Amino acid sequence: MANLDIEQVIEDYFPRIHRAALVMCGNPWDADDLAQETFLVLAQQRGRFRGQSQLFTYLYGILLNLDRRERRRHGTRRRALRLLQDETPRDGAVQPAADMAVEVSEWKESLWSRVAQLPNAQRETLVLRFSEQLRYEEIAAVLQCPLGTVKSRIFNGLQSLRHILQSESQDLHTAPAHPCEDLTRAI
Amino acid sequence: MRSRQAPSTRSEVEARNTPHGVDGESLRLANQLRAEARHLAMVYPPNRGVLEECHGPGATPRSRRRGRWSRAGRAWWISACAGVLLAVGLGTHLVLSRPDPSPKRARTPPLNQVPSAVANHAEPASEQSTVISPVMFVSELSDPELEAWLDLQRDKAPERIAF
Repeated sequence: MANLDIEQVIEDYFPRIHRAALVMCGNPWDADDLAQETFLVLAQQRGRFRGQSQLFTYLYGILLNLDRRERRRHGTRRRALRLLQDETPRDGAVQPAADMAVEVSEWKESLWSRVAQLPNAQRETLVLRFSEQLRYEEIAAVLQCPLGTVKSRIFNGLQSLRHILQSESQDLHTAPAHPCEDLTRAI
Repeated sequence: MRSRQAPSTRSEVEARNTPHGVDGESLRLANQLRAEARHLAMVYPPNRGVLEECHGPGATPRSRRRGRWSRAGRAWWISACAGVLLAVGLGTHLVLSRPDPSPKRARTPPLNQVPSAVANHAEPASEQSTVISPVMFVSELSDPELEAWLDLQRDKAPERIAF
C-alpha cells in the first residue's frame, strides 16, 4: 500500500498518537516531537506498510519503537550526567525554567508519572489499554505478543502501580521534609 | 441460564475484558488513568509543527522532501562530496610538489668580462648545460687545462673554433 495519503492519515490519527506520546513522555514538548517523528517515519517508510494490519496498529508500533530508542538515549545521557554530578559540587545546580513549573507539578501529580516508572512492557500495555482504549486483541497485535501476556501485563502493571502509590504514601508519612520540597504537592 | 456468547450490558462487556483477579482498587486506578489521559490530552493539544510544514496545506514540494533522504541518496551525496574533496586535495598536492620547469641558470658573466675566444665559443642557449655554464667552467680553468679543453672542443666541432 505505497499510495498512502499521509495528509489524511495525519488528520485522522495525529490526536490519538499525540495522546499516547503525552502520557508516555510526561511533557508536551517531547510528546509533540515524538508524535511528529512517528508520522515522519511513516512518510519515509510508506512502502513498508502492506495493509496486513490496521494502520493505527502500525503507527503505535512505530511510536513505541521511537519511545524505546529515546529512553535508551535518555538513560545513557542520565548516567553520564550522574557521573558528572558526582564530580562537581551541587551548589551550582541548574534550576528548571519558571514556565515549566506548572507542567512539571501537574505531571508529578498525575498517575501516569507513576506508570512511567514501570518496566517497558507493563508501561506500554497500560498506555495502550487505558489511554488509547484499545482492545486486548489490538494490544496483542501492536506488541506482537499473545493475548494472555497482555492480560497478565495489565494485571501486574496495576498491581505495581498500587505498590508504588502505597510506598509513596508511607514515605510521605515517615520521611523527614526536605527544605526545598513542597510537600503539599507531593502524593 | 445466560449465554456467555452475547453479553448484553456494558458491565458484562467490561467484565469479559477485565483480567482475572482485578479488584475494586485496580478498577479505580484504571478509571483514574483513563480520566487523566483525557485531561492531559485536553490541556495539551497536539502541535503539528514540522508536520504542518512538510505535509500540511501550505507545504511546498521542497518542504515535502524534508526528512525524506533515502539511504542510497545520502550515500551518493557523501561519496560525491568526498570524491570532489579528494580530487581537489590531490590536484593541489601535485601542483605544489611539481619540480620547477625553469630552474635558475648559472648567471653568465657579461661578454666584456669574458675572453673573446671563450665568448665566441659560447654555445647557443638551447645547447647549454642547465647546471654549469661552459663559460664559467672555462673561466676557472688553468692554462694547461684550458688548452686541453680547447683541443677537445676543436676535435668535436673544428669549424666553430675561430682560432
